[in-house]
Amino acid sequence: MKHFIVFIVAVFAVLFATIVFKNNQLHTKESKPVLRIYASSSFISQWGPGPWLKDSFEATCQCKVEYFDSADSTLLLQRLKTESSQSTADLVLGFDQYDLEAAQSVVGWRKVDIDKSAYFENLKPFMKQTKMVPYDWGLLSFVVRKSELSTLPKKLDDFLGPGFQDKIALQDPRTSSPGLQFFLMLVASRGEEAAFEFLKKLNKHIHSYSTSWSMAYGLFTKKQVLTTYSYVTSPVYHIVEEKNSDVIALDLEEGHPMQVEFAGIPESCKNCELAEKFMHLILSKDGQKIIMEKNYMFPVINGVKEGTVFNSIPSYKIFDNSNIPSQAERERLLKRWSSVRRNEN
Amino acid sequence: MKTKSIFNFVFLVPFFLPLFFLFKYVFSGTGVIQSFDVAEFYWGFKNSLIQSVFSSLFSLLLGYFIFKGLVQLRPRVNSKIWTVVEFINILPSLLPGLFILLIGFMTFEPFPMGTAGIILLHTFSNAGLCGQFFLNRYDEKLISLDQVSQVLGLSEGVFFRKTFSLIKQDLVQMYLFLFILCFSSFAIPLVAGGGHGTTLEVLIYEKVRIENNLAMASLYSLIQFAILCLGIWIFLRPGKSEKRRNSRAVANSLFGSTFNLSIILVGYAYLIYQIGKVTADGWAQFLEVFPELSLPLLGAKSILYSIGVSLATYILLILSSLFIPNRLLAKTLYMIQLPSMNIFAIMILFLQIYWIKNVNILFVLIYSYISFVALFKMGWSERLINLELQNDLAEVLSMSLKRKFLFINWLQLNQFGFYLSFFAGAWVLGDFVLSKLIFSQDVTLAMLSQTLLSSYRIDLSFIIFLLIICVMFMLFILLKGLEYVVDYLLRKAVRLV
Repeated sequence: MKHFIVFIVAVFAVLFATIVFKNNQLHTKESKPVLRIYASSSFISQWGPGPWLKDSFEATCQCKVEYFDSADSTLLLQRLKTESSQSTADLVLGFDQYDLEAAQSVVGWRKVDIDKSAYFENLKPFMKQTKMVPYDWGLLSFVVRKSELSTLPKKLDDFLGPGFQDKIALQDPRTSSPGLQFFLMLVASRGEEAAFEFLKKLNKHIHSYSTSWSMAYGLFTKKQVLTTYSYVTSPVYHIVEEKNSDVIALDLEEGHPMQVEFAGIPESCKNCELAEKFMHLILSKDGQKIIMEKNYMFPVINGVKEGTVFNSIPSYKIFDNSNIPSQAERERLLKRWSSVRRNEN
Repeated sequence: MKTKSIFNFVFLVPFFLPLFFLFKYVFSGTGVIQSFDVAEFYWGFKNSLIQSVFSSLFSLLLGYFIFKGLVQLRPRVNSKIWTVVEFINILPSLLPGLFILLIGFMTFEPFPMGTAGIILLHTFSNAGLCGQFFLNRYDEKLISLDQVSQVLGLSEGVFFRKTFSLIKQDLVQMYLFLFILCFSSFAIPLVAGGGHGTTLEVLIYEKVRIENNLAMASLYSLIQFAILCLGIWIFLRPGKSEKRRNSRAVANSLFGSTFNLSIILVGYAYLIYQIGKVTADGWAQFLEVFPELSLPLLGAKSILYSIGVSLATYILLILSSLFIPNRLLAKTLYMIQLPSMNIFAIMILFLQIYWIKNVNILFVLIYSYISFVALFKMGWSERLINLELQNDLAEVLSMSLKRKFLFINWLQLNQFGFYLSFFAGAWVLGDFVLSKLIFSQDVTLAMLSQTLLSSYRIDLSFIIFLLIICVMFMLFILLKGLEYVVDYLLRKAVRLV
């Protein structure tokens, strides 16, 4: 028994030493002002752009940057709603164009002065109705492995063929941004009735509606399905990290919806100037390059892609989705989508 | 007696708080009843019912098969290897849903998403636990009869028919436990349902998470609670079981054959092969990003949380013996089921508990609370009821409350208490749903694995899952050691050593 007690004491000693050592490291900078940033898990994870931007900013700002993981935009919204005026956020990253209405109803946002002239032209319509600022964007399409298909689909109707039976992984549009992009693009391009007719037919080919992009993409990478809805930049990940050029994003006749991600400074910010400086960092060429390479998304300003693997991505036809349906309208459509999903069982 | 009733009542109150919150939210919502979607509820309920009925049935059948293999294996290995076998056996029921799903993907090509997929994964994750359950009941009730039957030359079939009445109520109880477990299962239906097999529990989650409609979620949860209560009240007859006998006394048994044993060994080997394959795929990437992952810190925190939750749950379990050697109370507490607890946990998060400033303590407390309610159904209520007679007798003999608690309850419950508290620790090690809501950044290995999963790195995520299993094993050993220490001290206090 003595051995066991010594073992337990040793285990706890090591555990506490690890945590105390790490905490001491963190506390050395505590006297400096703290910039609190709410962002998504993928942004602040070790391989995301967050840590790089933090190091770069802390090197010059005489401050400390603290990230708060909000998993995704829905949780981010709920957190802001719960905290309301007591919010400790100085900067919020990760809303897309469909979250803006809700975000603006939950918290007031500060206007930020930025140079709009350098922005990519297609993003400008998204910037008209908000004080928030785009910091990256992506185009969405179905991704496939070339080696698994004899002919590549050219339009959405091609997915109704027998080859795709039970082989498409889509995302639930109520929980996943790519899922919502696909659904709203269908409604906008075909009209509501025709879109739902198409969805009813497509449902028979759907392997699963995942709650998140990552789950659906996991099904694709584990070869459970032939295709999933993702970003046209997804193949770049496989080229860079796995040296695999078999994965491609399809170029479809209907075009490809844009997902634009926004950063905003809440009016309740405590270190507003620091937040503004950080925002300028992420919109600088260096910041944009980091976001592009770590987040696998396109930069919002021109002159960043050049000389990188992102420049080799072919140009895709953009589907204009800058006309955003109201939140109430989206809720109505999504409720209808839920019943379509149910009736197909 | 009156004081005892008040104590019992006070003990039960916190466990009924979720119901209070659920009612509060239903009545605070406007037009909840009017906007109740019958078709949606029926769809979710039907899916829940189908998957629960078949998951429980197949788990029991496969569990019986595993039990026959275990009976063969036990006399052939030493106690250390047997501890590892026990650990591997219950491991699938402790693993996070995503990990189980990844193993499912590796094993089945293509994996059947929907209700069939949910049943498959539930069966896989619960069968080992059922095997262990059969083994426990065999040790408690059938082991002596098995020896006699062998002498008399009875066949396995005849033996099973003749002894069925002895374990019938145990089987009903186990089936009911599995049914509740599957009915209230969340992670597996969420990922394996694939939108086609959405269960009631997932619908409740959707109401909270997507629509932010706490009133409707509470209403769904209350109806679900009422249905389960009715089922438990009708079918559950907590019975007494005999004192445990020496489980290693028998070298041969009517049950099982080398066929069962070989199948189990082949199953383990296949699983290890598949895990090894994925580990090999992700290993190079793991080494590359290892310095960036802060694994020592996350690992240390994971261990501390799991130890914290295990110990807090153990204390709750042991303390419950002060109040619950009472059939009615046991049945009442048994009915408080997991889904409402999940909702409650989420609710209190949204409400924010300002009086508990330390988020780590809050996390440990919430998880211990949820775990205690779940573990109560895993045989704990029955153990407590078994002590009822002894407690009554002690009372007649005017034994003090302290002596009764120490020498009757704690001493006899210590081993099983640590065994169950390991489940609580293991659950928290694999959790990322609740922890993602509570913590503002990754603080555990499970949270890291989920983050990895959401950024293309599935194989890397799998390796982190394996680290979690290693930590689970460390926890298992640690709690086993603590169990011996506490047992030694208690026996010393009673002067049994």
